[in-house]
Amino acid sequence: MEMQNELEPRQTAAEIDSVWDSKREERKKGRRHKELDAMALTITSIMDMFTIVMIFLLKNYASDPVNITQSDVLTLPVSVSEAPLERAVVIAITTNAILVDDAKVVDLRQGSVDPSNKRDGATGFFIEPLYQSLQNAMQKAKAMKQRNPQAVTSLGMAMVLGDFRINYRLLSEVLYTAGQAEFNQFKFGVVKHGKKGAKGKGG
Amino acid sequence: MGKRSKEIVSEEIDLIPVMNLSGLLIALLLVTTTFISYAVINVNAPRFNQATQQQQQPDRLPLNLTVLVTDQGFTVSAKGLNVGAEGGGADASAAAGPSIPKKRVGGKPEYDYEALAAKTREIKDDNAEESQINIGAEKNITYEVIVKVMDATREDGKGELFPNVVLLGGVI
Repeated sequence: MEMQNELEPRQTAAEIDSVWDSKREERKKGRRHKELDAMALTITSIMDMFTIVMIFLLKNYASDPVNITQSDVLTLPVSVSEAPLERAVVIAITTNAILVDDAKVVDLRQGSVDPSNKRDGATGFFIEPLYQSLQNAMQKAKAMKQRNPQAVTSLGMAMVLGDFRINYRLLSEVLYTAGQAEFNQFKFGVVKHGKKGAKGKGG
Repeated sequence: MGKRSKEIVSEEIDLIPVMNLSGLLIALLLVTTTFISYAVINVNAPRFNQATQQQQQPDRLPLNLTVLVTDQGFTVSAKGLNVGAEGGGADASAAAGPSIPKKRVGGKPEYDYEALAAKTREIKDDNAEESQINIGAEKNITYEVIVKVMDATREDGKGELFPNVVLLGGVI
């Protein structure tokens, strides 16, 4: 009996231990749930952030009517002009080629057009391949305007994207040729600079 | 207790694929989007015949403000006369030198855009109704210099100067 009496409190202690263990387990489970809840909350806020960033980027992506990509051969000059971009035929003058709407029309050699591509030789201003290409663009724009006058608002307008290193002679030749193809309004694409006194290498 | 926790877990939407998709989209958009903002400068078609297109009024001479860019500096002329040519006064010829010669910055000659802006402001104050400027250049002058000349003559701190740019076709 004495032995039994001695054992009973020990059993009770074991029982108490098991109860404590189960309670500890429950508490652990509860904590895990709480941890999971906290994780879910973090993901929600990150999702919000991602959505906001995505909307901002999508809006930026779609806002410009002309897609300008600068490169080593086409670096636009900096200007304080604030006039917005407009949809027009794009003439890009890089350091090694002239492109119309992203299609190369004539190669440049040391910053000038080869005389064989000019109607009047070395001293001429009229660049034959450029004229053909611009005239095609003009014909297309005219046909579109005939069918849907509201769709084409910039007939005769060309956007000139020139590398800052090109010389005035080449620019004049391009403008003269464009003028012959009935383009009479030019928009020079530039990188916008906030205030006057933009940095530059011209000098 | 176990059952309740399972129910709670099963109610949550698995956002990981959506997160992955958003991550990819953001990366793609960041690569393709340019954060440089662009603008345009409006320019009228070049005049290759050098003849004035301004309406001749019988009582007054048109301003016909012209800036020629050479590698010496700027030659400004208005009403057919050179403005402020060094040593020659108002009627000095272009051969006498530029109206605004290059300035030396750190031993290196650079175009004096501030002086050009100041000169055009003077001319604008005397001819407030005029807004057209003709710009011409030597054949080797870079496009960047032309853009800076347009910037200097378009507006200054006091307001608009000559925003209607006509490029002269023939090179000097």
